[in-house]
Amino acid sequence: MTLGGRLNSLRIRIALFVGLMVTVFWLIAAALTVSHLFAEVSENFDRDLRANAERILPIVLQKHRDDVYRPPRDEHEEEEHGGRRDDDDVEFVVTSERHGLLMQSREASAITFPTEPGYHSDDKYRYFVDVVQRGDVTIAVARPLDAREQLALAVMGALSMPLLIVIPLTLLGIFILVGRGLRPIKTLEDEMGKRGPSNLSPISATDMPRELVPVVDSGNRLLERVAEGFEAERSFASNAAHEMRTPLAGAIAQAQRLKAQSSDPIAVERAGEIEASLKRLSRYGEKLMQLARAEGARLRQEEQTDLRPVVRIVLEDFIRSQRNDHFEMQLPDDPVMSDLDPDALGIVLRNLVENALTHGEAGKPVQIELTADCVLTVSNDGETIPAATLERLGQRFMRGDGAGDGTGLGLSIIHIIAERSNATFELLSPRPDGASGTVGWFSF
Amino acid sequence: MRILLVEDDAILGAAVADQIRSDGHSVDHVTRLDDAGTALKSSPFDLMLLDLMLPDGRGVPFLKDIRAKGDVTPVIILTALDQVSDRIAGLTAGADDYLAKPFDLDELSARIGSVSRRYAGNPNPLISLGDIEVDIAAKQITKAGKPVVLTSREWAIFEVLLQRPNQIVTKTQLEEALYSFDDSIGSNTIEVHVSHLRKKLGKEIIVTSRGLGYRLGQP
Repeated sequence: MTLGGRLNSLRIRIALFVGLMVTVFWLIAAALTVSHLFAEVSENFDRDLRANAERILPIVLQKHRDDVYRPPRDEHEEEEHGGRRDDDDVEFVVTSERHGLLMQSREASAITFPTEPGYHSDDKYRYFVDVVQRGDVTIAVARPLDAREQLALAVMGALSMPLLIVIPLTLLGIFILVGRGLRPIKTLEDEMGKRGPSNLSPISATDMPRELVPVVDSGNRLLERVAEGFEAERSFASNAAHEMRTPLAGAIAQAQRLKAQSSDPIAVERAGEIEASLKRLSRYGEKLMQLARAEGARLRQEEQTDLRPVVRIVLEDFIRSQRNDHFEMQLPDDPVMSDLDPDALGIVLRNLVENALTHGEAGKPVQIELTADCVLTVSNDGETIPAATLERLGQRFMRGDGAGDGTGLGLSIIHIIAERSNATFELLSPRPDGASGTVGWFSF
Repeated sequence: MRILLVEDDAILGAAVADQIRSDGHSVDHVTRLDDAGTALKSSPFDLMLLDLMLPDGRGVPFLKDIRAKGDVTPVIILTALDQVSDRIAGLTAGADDYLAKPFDLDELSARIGSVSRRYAGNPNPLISLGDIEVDIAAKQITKAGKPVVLTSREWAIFEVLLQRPNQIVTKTQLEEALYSFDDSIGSNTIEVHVSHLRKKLGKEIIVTSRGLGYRLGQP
């Protein structure tokens, strides 16, 4: 993933932005703390420097007075004084207008002391100069700036140390918490992913954060429109079927009445021909409606229904209208629950049975079985269909041998229904368990 | 039998009505649910053929409605809606059978016969009355092995009696069966047909209950 790609993650973006902001604010806070602390420390150091001056001066003056009345002390004693002062880094020089240099620390000669009273700094030392004894005695003390700088560094170090630990932890924390906060988006994504031609139920907006409710709402409006589209297509198919079927039924019925009532054999024959043509037309019409339905309608329902009645109703229909055919039906005792549209299964079963009747051996029963694990099989005895023909049969308007009045659409309708409803359809010939015949195997 | 046909398509309706009449039943053909409701209230019908999509509404709610009001007329739905769910809806609304358009008229006749036999409590189309064998489905009668030919009016009356084997059938009920034959039913029409039936099938076949009507006898 590229950096741009990574930044497309809401989670990473929020973590980065918030992390950056926290770092900057922390740094500002640290800087303010450091500068405030530094001012305090400087003040303390200055006070200390002045205290040093005030402590040294009486000693120097006292010593000066003693020296006037006493011979000068030996070097050793002086060194002792100087050595002790060296301990706290303070260098000093005390001068008198009248008496010249009164005393200075050991390193003091290397330092150029300012002369103006007050605090001064250069790049190595901090100075304090005081003039006492009515302007006669000037004391100048100096202390290296190192100590202050070291302290400031220590403070800054102490302040930035947590930063090194806290910032990555903050980033990690934000990343994890934002991930948690964004979980409803993942939920929404999962919910959306479940939707499709088979499931157009609205997504529930309860439990969704306020920000996502408009997204859910507009998603639901879209689903609604899609569902309406499906519904329109469905009702078009059934309305069109109705519009076509009723006049066809009228024409067929009239032709049959004509056949029944006419005593003229030619008229009877003609009426029979009209009837046959109309029946053929009606078969095509029916298949086209089934095809439209297979391609357009919703094939999975929101609810599960028992599909055993579908098998019973369709077979009952066959048994009543084709009295001489034998069927062997096997249904489980318990309901076969599925979200497959019962009408779609009806279409599949009708086409499979029609095919089995057309291609099966006359007089041998067609076996229909629906199992508890949602597999519908329709099998018949008869000649084995060559593999090449089997393959061809799935294509539209393709007929098997000997299917003179078939429409060639039945199997492709089943294929479409299988594909659109995530079901599996296979046509096997010969039957796996028998020597001959064909079995249609529809698993949904 | 007196059959109510509810079908708004004139050509189909005419052919179906024609078929029913040629089967020896009488038929009232209406094209709207309103008229069907009125017809059911005004006279008794032995069967109703109901289309589902009519100009003034749908057949399924209509059927539910009349069933809720206690109407037990046998109903066969004739419809262009042939999906399994439509069938289930029709059957659960109270239909006895369901025929999808287009259908064969002979199949319709067969289903009318089977539904009415079931209602009469005898789904078997073969009825034996002494030496008389009746195949209601095929409309064939034999007496002592020899076929007997009835006119369609005679058959219509005989069938009503066959369907109510242990009941007295009023003269009005028998007249209802002839209702669609378009000829004016004279005061002695039923007596004439009954007398013909007795002549063909034997004196004992129809018993007269004076002042009440007729019933099927045991020859």
